[in-house]
Amino acid sequence: MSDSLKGTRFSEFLVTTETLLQLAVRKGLYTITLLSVLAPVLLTIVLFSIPDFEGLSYIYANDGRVVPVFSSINNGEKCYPAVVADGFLVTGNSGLKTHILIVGSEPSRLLEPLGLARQYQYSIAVILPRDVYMRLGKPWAVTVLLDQVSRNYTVAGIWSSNIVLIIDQSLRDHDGYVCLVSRGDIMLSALKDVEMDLLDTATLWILLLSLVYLPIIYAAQRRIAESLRVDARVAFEAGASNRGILISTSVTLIVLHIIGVIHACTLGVVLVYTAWSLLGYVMPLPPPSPRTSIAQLLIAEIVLGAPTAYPASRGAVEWR
Amino acid sequence: MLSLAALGLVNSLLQLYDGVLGVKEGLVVSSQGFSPLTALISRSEIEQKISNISDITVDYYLVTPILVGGKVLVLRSTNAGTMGSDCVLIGDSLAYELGVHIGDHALASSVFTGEVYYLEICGYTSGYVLEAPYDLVARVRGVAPGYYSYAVVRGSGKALEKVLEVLNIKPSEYRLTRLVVAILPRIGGNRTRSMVYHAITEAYIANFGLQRDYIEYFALAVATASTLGSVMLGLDSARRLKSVFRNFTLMGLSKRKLLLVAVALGVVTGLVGFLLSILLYNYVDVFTLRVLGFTIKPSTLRSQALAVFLVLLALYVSGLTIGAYHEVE
Repeated sequence: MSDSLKGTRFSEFLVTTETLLQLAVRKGLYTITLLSVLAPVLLTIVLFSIPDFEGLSYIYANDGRVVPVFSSINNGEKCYPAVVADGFLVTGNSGLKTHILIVGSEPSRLLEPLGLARQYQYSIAVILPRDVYMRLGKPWAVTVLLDQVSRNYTVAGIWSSNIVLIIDQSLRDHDGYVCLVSRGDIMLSALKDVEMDLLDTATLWILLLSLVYLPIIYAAQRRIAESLRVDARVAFEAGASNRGILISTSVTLIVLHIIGVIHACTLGVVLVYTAWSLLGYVMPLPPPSPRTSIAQLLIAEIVLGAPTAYPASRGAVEWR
Repeated sequence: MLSLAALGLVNSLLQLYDGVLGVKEGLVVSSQGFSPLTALISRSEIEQKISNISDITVDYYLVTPILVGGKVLVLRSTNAGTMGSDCVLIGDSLAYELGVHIGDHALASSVFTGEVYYLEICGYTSGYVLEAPYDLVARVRGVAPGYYSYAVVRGSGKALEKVLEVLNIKPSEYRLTRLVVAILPRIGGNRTRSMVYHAITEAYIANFGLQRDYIEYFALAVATASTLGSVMLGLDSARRLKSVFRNFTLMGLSKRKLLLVAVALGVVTGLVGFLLSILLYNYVDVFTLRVLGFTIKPSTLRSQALAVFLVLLALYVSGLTIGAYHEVE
């Protein structure tokens, strides 16, 4: 095929598409497209604009306190190697078997943030459970027997827990890490998990809804194609090829679909912000926060609408 | 089906704590707070108020969030006796997920006291919670003995009415249902009026200004909006049945009777579609939510399912009738 013929066909395609598009808009057929995409697009905007759960963390005052969390992985610089073992505590004539958590760190790095001791300067320390401390007669130091090796530790403090905490920089073998995590971060991460789970379910729901709406989009596009039948016939009589008209009609339907999705999206944003401002008079509501996943879902909606355009045009604007 | 799932999930979310805490019936007494996992009531205060009421049983529970390997789990006090002081029962589904068995141990951190606890797995319980003796839970929660998160009062309807009265709730303010939640003022607070809700979650989300009604209206709006396309389907069905309608007209059927046929057809199609949706909804577990590790499955009320069906039917039949009317014209 020569280049000039290709160019003529392309300009013929452009003219036919433009004419069909203008006619579709003039005849008000665009409304049918808008109606067919309104529900999935509006619901996408509404569901993915729910207030950010991070905003709820104000309820949980972040007082800067930290929580030691035992984890099998090293999550950052505030993680220290740790191991849990069974050992004996001995003071004078009394002794008892107990569970011991040994953390390989400089004591002040752990004791000060946890509020267990102030300005602790020794290189090793033991924190005893309150009941153990009482049972051993409030000692200032204890001998710890672990794997037939005994060592003396200064009692740096007591706590309500049921495990003895030894902080010893010389710890070699470990089966996990103790990480210092701020209480605010824990709360935030729990809220984020809930939010992620809600949005994941909403994504699945929206995608299924978009799939369910495929026959509806097809029906709307078929109706538009049939309404353009007479105009397409005029183009056919004027010399446009059957295939060219079919492609032009499909492209017209796709363009209308894209405009419909964008229009419905705009309506959704207006609806969300209007509802938020009105409901703000009734109850204290955090502002809506549209998520970036809206864009992905809208693209999915557009992509889902494109394959139905060709079958909707076939038969409606074809002549033998 | 999608509309039913949306409504069902919202219903289930509104009953989240009922599921997490395993409370299905009775009068739940708790206090104001962020959630029942942070609220506290004083046992002596409650007992002082209800000591004169007979024919009731009261169970007190203390629950607290706890961190195990970076996961936030729920630790609940149990009344099961003969448990060692470090012993915990683990929910079967939680044990399966964490891969732990009886005899294993876990290190848990308290978010309230910032202390680490040694927990020995001594047995199984149901659900996605850990259960431990009250003393251990109180230490993890960082409260003195005698403080609990909530109490469940069980007894006859009349006895429960008396309990509500002593909690300063007038009989006209409540209607006894399967589960009633009374939220007391904070300990040491100066408010004296109690509040009643029909689900534990409802009582706590109210603190954020979110009332059950608003959430239900939102869910209904989402469910209704998702059925909007039925109008288009109705119109399309009418267009496809164009030749059938034309044949009926040629056979001498009046326009009114033809429209009645269209309505009947719409009702039958809508009914079949709805029944298929109900079947799918009941047997396909696509939509589940996990909150605090607890898996929420949608549960739709019959009245809501009926409302969705009526909306769907009205939209589809309207589309079909309008389409049929235009085709006959």
